[in-house]
Amino acid sequence: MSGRHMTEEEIVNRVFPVDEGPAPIPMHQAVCPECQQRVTKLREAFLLDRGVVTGVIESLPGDFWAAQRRAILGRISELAAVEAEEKATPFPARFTRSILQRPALAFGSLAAALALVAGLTVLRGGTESGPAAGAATVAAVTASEPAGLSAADREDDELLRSVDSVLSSEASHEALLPEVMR
Amino acid sequence: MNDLPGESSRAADPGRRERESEILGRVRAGDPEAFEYFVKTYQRKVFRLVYTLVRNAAEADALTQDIFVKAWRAVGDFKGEAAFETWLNRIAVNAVRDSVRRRKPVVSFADLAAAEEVEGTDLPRAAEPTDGTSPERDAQSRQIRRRIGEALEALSPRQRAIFVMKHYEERSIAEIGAATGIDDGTVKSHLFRAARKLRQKLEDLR
Repeated sequence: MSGRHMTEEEIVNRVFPVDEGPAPIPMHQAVCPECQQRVTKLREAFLLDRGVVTGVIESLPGDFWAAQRRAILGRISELAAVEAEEKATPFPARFTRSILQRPALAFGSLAAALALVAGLTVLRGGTESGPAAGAATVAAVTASEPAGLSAADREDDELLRSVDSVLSSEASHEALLPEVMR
Repeated sequence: MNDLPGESSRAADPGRRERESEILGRVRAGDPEAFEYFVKTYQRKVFRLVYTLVRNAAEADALTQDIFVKAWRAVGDFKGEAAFETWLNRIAVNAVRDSVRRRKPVVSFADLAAAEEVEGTDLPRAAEPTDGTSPERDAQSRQIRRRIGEALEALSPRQRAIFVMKHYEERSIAEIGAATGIDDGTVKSHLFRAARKLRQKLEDLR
């Protein structure tokens, strides 16, 4: 006898080859009755099972296939009819119909929408108090600014005020300008 | 566009591709009856694949119907890059995988002897092979089949689909790859692991 007995993997590969085409028979298997029997047992079991599957399919009568076809085509026809009807129905009618057909869903959706709006309103009310308080703080700081100003800032303010007063009294000085410049 | 690599010659038959393309055009244009061609042509193949995977005729029937309805609904997405059969196989494999994941089978996958006769359907009892030599031998055959059923059930849905397509349906590696959306190397790796698991489960058959 040549070599060792076949390993489990070799037996598996022999019965269930991964690659396509016939696999070469190992020399050992050709001469070892024990390994031949192990391969044969597994192959017989598999072929028996495959044969039963084929037997089941082949024993199904023509009526079975016809009934299956009718069932499939019936479902498809129903779906096609529903789709065609939806395409033909204008949007408002479709919407109204869907509400009428499922009132619980429609009212549920409405309630959910109202709850969402209410929630958002409360939330926004809370966040709006932030900027208002901020504005009040800015106003308070502005009012108290003169007390904290430096001498240089005060001089700048006085300069700006005097420019303002000159600009506001410009109309009265216009009379002093030469005629061509008016 | 060309076929996906590895599509079988039957799937890549140019005459069939053209004919199917024309019929698909009618289906897309809103003629649901044109879809009957696809049901007639592929229902046995789809049923066989599904049945081999779920081992329950009633469940295989329901799934086959769902697969064709899904195919009809998705026909607008079918670009014709693969053969229709390849595309349909992919829908079938996914549908079986989802079904297996979603729920336990109505009848245990391993309970092969009683699974085929389903009350309320016209389905016949499975042909139980006997060699007529002895009741003991028949009992042994049933035992072996049950063991194979249990072993297949232990595989992941994807591994089971790949194994069944290769060894029960005798499809090429490339066809299996196209139907499952994985490359040839990964298909081979799944095949090898599935076969090894099967062998481990059937260890004592030696």
